[in-house]
Amino acid sequence: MAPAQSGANVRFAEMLFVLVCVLALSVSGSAAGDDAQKALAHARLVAETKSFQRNHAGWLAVELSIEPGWHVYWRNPGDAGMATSVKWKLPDQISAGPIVWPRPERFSARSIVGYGYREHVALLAAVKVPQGFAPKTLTVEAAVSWLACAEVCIPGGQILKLTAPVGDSAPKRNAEAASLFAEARRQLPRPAPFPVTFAMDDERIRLRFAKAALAGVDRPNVAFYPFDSRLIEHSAPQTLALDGQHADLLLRRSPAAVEGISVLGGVLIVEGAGGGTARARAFEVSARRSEPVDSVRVR
Amino acid sequence: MLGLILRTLPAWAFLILQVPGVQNRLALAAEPSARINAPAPDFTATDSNGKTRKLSEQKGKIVVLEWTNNGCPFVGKHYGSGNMQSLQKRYTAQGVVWFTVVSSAPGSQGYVTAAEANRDTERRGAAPTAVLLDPTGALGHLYGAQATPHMYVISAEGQLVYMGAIDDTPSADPADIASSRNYVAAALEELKAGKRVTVTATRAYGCSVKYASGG
Repeated sequence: MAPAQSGANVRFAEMLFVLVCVLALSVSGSAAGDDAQKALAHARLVAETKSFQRNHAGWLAVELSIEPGWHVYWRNPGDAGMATSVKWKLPDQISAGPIVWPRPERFSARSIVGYGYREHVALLAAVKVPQGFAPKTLTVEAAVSWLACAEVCIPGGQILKLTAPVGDSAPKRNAEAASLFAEARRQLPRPAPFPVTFAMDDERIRLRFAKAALAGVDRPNVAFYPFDSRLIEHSAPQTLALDGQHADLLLRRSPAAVEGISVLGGVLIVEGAGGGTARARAFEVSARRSEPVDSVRVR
Repeated sequence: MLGLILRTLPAWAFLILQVPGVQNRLALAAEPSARINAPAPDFTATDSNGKTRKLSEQKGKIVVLEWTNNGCPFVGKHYGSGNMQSLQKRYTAQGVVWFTVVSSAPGSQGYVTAAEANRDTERRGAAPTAVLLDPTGALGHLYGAQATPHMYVISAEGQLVYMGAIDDTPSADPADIASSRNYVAAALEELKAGKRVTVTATRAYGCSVKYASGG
């Protein structure tokens, strides 16, 4: 379902209400009716600068405010769910870069695991205005759709619009957006400064990196969130084995995992078990397949 | 609160009527035992007409398992558009056994009594061979069903040949169906043509199965 009118929260709430009424009519014993009157997430499109500069990239944020108790999904939604998506509508010469996703949280309900965001998330993307773009303004349209889940799941969406001047000089900062972008960037995984490799057999995937990557972390707790939802059993425990120079994270391979993958991408989150001061570190990983399949050993 | 009690009453009544033996034994199998190109795990379940259904009785026939939840928007995508019903009609007419499975726990979204399951079938114009009631989640856990819809195809020889999504477009929008590749139809056509199923396992998309807590 796509909202008929742009940027119209009220309109969307009405549509959601209708949808939920339809659901409520067809469902006995469903909790969906309780959430009928409110949208479960509200979206906003925010630019980092007050104008766009030709031959430069400008950053945009799709900010979602999510009702307490509900969550929306990461690029890999996990066992079920649906990735949040943004479809851009831009003039021909202009395209938006891929969404830059903040580190996700893991949700687990009755042995089914999901990855996503609670309360608030900002999805970032860059828009580059080419030198030859003549118009004096640029209108960006973003059709955002998400699946909000708590006990039940309700899809939602909004069409967002933003218009800003285009010039040749450096754009003015949008002071109101500064903290939004700063916080969003704090939530981004940074490229892992250490090499990661993987090996896999029929049942397991083993991620390997230098033990030094965990230096200074008290009783490290490591979790891997793959970009591709088909690779691992999300609900299976991930076990960390430290051995000599290596740290090995053992994952259970999903039967849906395809053969012949050579790069395993995802986010590696390292947390100290000490709690309190320990701040979780999130690394974006692009693990290369390095060893023969039969070398996967589980002690 | 009173509403909740009233709503769950038929559920209790239903649980009391369940014959405990087989279901309880299945519930002990914590790890899903369904594997591609291996014998599909046998099960015994009660359908919405009170009939006992065993997978082992279907030998020689292709079997489709479809996990459902009538409140899930992704199920709504495929029933509201008529997509699921047309698959059911097309393939049951060709001798395929189609079991729709409800693993929602009593009190959870999508839980139905036998009468409600039959009412859903009629209202939707659905045409499964039977609707299997799995309120304990035993059958769901045996196959590792995670989402609704979650689809399984079992060959006439009893091998599990497909598990995963209904199609390749994870969305709740029925407009996407026309341009999607339907994995279940593809597997069934390949089986009928005596070919190997090419796409054997995908990640299902949809709502999580509303299993009983701790189940």
